[in-house]
Amino acid sequence: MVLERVQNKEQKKRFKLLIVFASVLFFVLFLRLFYIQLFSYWKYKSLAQNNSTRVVPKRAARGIIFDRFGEKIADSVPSYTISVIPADLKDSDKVIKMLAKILELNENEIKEKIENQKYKVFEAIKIKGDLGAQVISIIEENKTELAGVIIHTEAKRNYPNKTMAAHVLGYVGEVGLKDINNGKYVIGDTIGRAGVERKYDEVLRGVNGSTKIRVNASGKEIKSLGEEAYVKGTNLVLTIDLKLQKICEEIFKDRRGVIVVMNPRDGEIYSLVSKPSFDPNIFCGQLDGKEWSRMVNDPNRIFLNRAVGGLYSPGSVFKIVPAVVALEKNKLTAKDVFVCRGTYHYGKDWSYDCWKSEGHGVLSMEDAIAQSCDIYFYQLGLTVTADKISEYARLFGYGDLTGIDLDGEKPGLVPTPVWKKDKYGIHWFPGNTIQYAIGQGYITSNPLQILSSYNIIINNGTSYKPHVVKAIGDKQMEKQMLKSFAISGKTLELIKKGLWKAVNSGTGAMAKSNYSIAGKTATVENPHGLSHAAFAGYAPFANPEVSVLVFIEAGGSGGVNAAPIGKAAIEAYFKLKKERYAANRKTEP
Amino acid sequence: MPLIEKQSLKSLNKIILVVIGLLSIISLVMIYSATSSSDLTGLRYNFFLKQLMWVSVSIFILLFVSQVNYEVWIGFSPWMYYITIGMLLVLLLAGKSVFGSVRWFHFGPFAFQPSEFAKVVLVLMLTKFITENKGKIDLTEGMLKTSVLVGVPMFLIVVQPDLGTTLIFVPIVFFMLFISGMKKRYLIGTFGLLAAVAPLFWLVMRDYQKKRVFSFLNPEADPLGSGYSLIQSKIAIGSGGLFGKGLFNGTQSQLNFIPEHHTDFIFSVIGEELGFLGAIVIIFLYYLLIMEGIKIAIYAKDRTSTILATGIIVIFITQVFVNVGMTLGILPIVGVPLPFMSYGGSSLIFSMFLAGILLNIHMSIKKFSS
Repeated sequence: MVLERVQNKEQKKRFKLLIVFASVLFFVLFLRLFYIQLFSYWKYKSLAQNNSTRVVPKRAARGIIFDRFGEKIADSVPSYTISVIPADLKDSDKVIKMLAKILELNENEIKEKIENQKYKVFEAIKIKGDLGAQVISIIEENKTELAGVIIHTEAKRNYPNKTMAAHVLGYVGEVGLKDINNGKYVIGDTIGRAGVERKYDEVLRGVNGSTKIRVNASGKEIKSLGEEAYVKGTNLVLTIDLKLQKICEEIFKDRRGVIVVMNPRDGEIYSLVSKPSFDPNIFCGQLDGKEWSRMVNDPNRIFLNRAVGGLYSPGSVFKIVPAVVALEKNKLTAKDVFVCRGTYHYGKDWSYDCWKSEGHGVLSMEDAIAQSCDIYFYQLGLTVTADKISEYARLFGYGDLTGIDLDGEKPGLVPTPVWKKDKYGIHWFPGNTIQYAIGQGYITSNPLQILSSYNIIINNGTSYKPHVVKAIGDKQMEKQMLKSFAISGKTLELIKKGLWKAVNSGTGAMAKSNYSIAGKTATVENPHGLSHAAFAGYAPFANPEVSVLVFIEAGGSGGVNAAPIGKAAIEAYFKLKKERYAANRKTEP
Repeated sequence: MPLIEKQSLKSLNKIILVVIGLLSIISLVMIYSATSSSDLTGLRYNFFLKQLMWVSVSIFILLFVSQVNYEVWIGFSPWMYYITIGMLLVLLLAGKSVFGSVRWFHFGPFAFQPSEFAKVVLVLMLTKFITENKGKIDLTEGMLKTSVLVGVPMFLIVVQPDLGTTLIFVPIVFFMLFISGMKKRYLIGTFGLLAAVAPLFWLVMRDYQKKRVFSFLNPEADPLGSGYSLIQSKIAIGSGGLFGKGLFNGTQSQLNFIPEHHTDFIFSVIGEELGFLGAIVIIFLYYLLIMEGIKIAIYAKDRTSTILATGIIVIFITQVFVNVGMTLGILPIVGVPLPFMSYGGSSLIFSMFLAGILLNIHMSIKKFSS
């Protein structure tokens, strides 16, 4: 060995130490290389991958919503979104400050979003969507200073018909930070907040995909590493007929209230108008706080779907229920009559008026329904008792949700003497029964319940669950029974005759039509002002295929104001049917 | 007489020549790979071409120095020593305002780092000093003189502040004195004292230096800040695995996650792109160079050349260890280039110069023994 050349023993030792010094240091390097490159290879490999790989979520476009004839009611359009990748935010304070200014957001809002996703620093977090070209160009111009900020396009919900059928469709919104913590959603996801959008959110939302991009150390995109395509949400076909909906909205003008047109045979809703309405498009993009609170606090309650969430006294349209009770319980027959002199005296101190102050004279049940005589029904009510009315009211569907596939439905109230005692501690008075028999007093219902109760008469004792979705993707929805109970043929015949007469020579004469409409009007006492006007009807009388309910808040007389609208809706239905039939014949050879 | 005789070229140490040749080629390849994706790519900034020029120039220097009797340099060393001190002083007093830096002199496109120069000069100067003071160096007076000799440039560099280069002086001086035969008790006494006062450095250290030490101790505390370089370099090397990702394919290097990846962190690029096998080949080449250097020191014809060779070897040992150790995360980040490998002219020229002296010492043994 070389060292043998050194004669001096001490010098030999010293050279040895130098060799050992060099060898130990190099061996340390070797061991360290071995540890890092071979032993910890997988760890560092994935770290290196994460380092340069960024994930930009590709949010699934929501399913398209069609009307029953394939017209688009809700689709998606591309829009610009700004996201942030936390790992690339080298100077986060500066960037967030700048971004907040450009996007007109609060700095804390942005920070909160980033903080919320701090364990996924390589994934893009949506900060704001639906941005205009102007904002995007400002961001583009400042791109070098905004390291970690990315611009991408996303599908944005779009409702081409604006306010039309808004209460059926509902609206969407960006998921709140609270919902994110359960892991189902990520920041920036859109969820249904009302209507079909909410009820069918699971179906409509689809599955998000993602784009993987390779970035350099400054967060600049170098190339795409491929993408995991999103699964588009499932399309929905509604039972709504957009053309009929449009006509109904037009004829309703700017009244407040409801029109529901449906098929009594299977529960499909052709048209559901609830006014006043709103444009669901405003929720698809960015909504500023002021505008939102203005709408929420609007005394007209524009977001309330009055067809299911509005509770009213049903008024005279309710009269068919006590009438059925009287006949079925054999309290009265078709031939039994009561006399109406305009005022009904109960005991010495109480008197109740008929809507017709001069009185109807002697009336059978058929005429009482046709003329909507209150005094006949006061006496009928006292004859059958409140408990029996309540029992049948429930059979007709009052007091229970119809179970329509929309949100916000309220069950209303079917009162009983026991309920009153529990609630107010006082007995049920005969006066309560008198009011109950004409659909006033404690009873409340939503308009759809009223329409369902008429469907029971139409279907001889059965109603079907009202629904607005006809098919989810390719899967057709089956009709479902809602209520069903036995009513004798004689009873049904009498009630139907009364309803026919009401439209053809009674209070509903303004709904008289060549399409042979039958129905019932109501002028509902409104403690807050002008009476509510209502009309429940169906056609054709012999073989009904459409039933309609009109309810106008503070609309005045049911016969004068609601019946013509009911008629117009039914006639529109038949006209459209005829047009489509004719169009089909033309196209077929 | 031609400047370089054919005969004397033949007698050059083959191992050192081959190792330096290989390191230079690998260096050029790695710099080409490391800077190929750089935003600055373009003829004007072509690192590869620039380095190719430096390699050519410095190989010429290597051959030239190998033909010049090393004693010439030792003779020059006091002059060079004072010039170095002067340059360091100029940098300290006017560096930032005139040259835009406290470490570099900028002359047009060229930059020159006096602290690199200082290392070389110190080794020469110390050799001269030890040789001339044979027998006296053990005395307290000799020790004090040595301390002043070494201490002045060290001080001027540490206040730049360039702690890395300063610390490299310590093992160099130690081994030169050690091999020169200095008594153990003096060595232990002096360096023990140095170790004892080392914590005082903390007081004069700048914030960024303290930060580097902290981030070395716990790089994950601030992964995007001061710990960034350490973490990224480790990730680069670790993800290289056994065979590496291949030239131009290192994501860490090519996407600029490793800072200074063509200069101080060139070894990270090697680790990532050439893998464990490539990295140990490099380490082995350095080891070969150093062992050959130690051999020359042992065989050297006189005490002077032994001490000089030792100083040169320890420069190489410490530079390699500090630089590679830094990229592997076992040492804090200090601005020390990897000899023959990092991009940059002055580092390369001085490494070649030192290697040239080694070659000359080797040649003098042959002449002496023949």
